[in-house]
Amino acid sequence: MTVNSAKIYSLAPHMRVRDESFGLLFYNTKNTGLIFINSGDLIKAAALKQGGTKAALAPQNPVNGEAILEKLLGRGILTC
Amino acid sequence: MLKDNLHNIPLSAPVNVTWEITRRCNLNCKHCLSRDRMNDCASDMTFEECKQFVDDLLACSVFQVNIGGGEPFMREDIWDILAYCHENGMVTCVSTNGSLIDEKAAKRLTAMPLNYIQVSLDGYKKETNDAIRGDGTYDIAMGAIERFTAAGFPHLSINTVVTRVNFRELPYLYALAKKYHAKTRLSRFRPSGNAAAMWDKYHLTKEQTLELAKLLSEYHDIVTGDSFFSITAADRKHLGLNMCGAAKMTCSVSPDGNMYPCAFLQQDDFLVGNVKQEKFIDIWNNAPLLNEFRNLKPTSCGDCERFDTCHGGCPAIAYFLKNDIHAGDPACIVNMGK
Repeated sequence: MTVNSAKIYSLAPHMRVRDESFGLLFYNTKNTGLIFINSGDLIKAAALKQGGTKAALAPQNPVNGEAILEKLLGRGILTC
Repeated sequence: MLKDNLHNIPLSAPVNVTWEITRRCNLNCKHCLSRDRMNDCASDMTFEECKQFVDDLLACSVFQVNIGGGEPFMREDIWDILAYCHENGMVTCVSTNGSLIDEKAAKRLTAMPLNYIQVSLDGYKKETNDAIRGDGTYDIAMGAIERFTAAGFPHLSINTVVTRVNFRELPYLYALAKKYHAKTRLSRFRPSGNAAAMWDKYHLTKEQTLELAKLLSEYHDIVTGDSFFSITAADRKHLGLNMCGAAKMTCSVSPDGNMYPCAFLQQDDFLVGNVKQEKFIDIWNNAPLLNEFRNLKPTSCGDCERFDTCHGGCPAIAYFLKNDIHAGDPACIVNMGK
């Protein structure tokens, strides 16, 4: 999988997110559904709310961060 | 990435908070959870206190408030409270009996970014509903539903507390909601408040509880926030529910700022703090009783093979019928057979 390193990831407008001990908790305002992401400290909610590249969102480990970001993108949680 | 079992993950804050915003109500429903405490309207939080409370919820990233009462529209400043929530990004849901929803109110609410509005209707037949909620309330609720529909409100749900007397009408209520492009929402009947006196008459039999599960399995777009017991694990997953969320994903705040694990347990025994006197998040993090709820394993459920699919059910029903939140839900189909 080749991903543009300059790709800007943003939180989808209908999603909310916050940090939890296991990683990220997403809330879908359309259906009140929850999505638990076991991402540890890799990506912080505040950064996701701002949006940015994989390097900006997961500076400690952009490679693992990218895998998570792409999965979130695929599930419609993030936009690009 | 993984989706873990909720009950193993202490959350930093509730996902949503049930906020009874006023004690005032113009009805006297037989199953009302809080009607017996509706005599102290003077203690409702002021608008400034409400704003502070919303700020506290936002500060700890609570996603949603479910506003009820009493009848929320009995508060003249409910519009300002809703506007304040929306301006600051709080998702809101409102439960109403519909009595104060005229054409203007329906249009005004339609213009607001509410997640949903829930109108209570407890029977497909007028006489069924009115016997529970009071004379004329069927026409009142239907009038509100008509006005919301005419105004184009997009997220309407019709909420029914499931009882023995309206049980046979549920498929018709479902069809009625469809007609208005509304969701059907079903809630469990609990012996809290006024409802305590109605338990024997209203609670479902074991057979009805099992039949209800079939209905919920058949109609996947029926919404419920409740742990109906005979639901299969697969269907519970679909409903996003396999446990009581009290103190784990939700809690309740009463009109005077008192905080409880859930709206059905607004008893002195379950008071964990007051949001006017302490920060909401400090109560959430530190109240010993909330921690007790987070670790409940009812004694009657110790060797039950169904435990992982229900986690013991509703502690409120256990409390009201057995005076013990650790007793296991007496309305569970397993316990009903004992």
